[in-house]
Amino acid sequence: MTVVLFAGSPRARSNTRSISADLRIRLEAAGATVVTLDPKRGEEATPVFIARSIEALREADALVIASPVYLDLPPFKALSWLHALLEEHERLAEYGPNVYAITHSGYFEPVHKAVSLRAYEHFCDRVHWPWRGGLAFGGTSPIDGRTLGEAGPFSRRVRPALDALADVIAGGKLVPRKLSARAGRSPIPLPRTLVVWLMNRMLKRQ
Amino acid sequence: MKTVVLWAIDSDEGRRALERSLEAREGSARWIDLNQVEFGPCVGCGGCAKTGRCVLDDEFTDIVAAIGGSDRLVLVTPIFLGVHHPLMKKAIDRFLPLAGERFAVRSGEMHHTSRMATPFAIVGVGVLPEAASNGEAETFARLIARHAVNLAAPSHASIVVRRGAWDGVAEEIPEALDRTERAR
Repeated sequence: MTVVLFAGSPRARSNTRSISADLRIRLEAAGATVVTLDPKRGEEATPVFIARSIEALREADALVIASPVYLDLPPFKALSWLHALLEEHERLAEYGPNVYAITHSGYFEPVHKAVSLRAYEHFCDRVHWPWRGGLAFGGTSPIDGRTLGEAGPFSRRVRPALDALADVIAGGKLVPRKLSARAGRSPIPLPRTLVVWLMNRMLKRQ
Repeated sequence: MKTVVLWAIDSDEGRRALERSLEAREGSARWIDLNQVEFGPCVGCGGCAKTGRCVLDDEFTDIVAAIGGSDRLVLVTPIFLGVHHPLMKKAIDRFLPLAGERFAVRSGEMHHTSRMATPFAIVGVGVLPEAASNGEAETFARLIARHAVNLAAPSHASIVVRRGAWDGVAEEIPEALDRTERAR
């Protein structure tokens, strides 16, 4: 099977890239061919990049949209790519990859990522592609663009969830609720107010 | 009441209706047509977390400062996938300097503190395209409610307009403005 993996972060040291690279390894281990679309800033909606995206999507069994969440939504870069793709909706409607999404942010609660996942679902409705669900990771800031292995305990919720997600994608299945719930759990199992107090204390020391 | 309008629609459709409602209340509002502003997208560098100022030194840096000092922000955007048009999102990504470096618990959720002494109320006006899928209007209302929590807004309101049907919402605009005024 072929999986197209779109990385929609504008950051140079991007956690989206860290997460996507890890998922890619897991998908390849499951026998998939992975095409990564990781446009440079400003390239995402250019005719050349959109043509390349459509070419890749034509052959794809699955599309994974990975992005951070800035102020409740995917950043401009990811929305801009979807907007340019949708201009070609008549061509896109001829294909039908299963669509998955990975959203993440420093905030722990999945509610911060819920509207982003809903927007991706609306995209699927518009192009008539099957929406298979998404994962919302919180507390990803300390990964800081490192590989998930290097990030150690800061990626301990992410790695097993990506492992499970790779199996889900390879099987063309829906993302199970249990997996979404597990991925959305706080990486620091302490009361929220205590976590906030600790983080502010660390900032003060810096 | 200082109101800033961010306009991301590529025509003047509906502009008069909104202008009339605003003029009746506060005389004028600062109107920013995003189609006419040269600005770059947020690069996600996090530089603003420490300084409160964006590393991109362009026209939008001062616009964000004006927004931060306003009492009410009106976002007028075509609805795209239930959320903002990319042009509006490009502007909103640049709001990150309005957030403080430290964290706080707000509405039972983790958030950054706000650098604004008195955060603005938010009115979202979304123009629904004919091709919109089911539920996009509801998603837009949910998004504006989320922005209100995230930006520590004292109140918010959202209006969804069908393309070409501004007359149908002529009464909703003043009501939304009233709602965000009363809460202050």
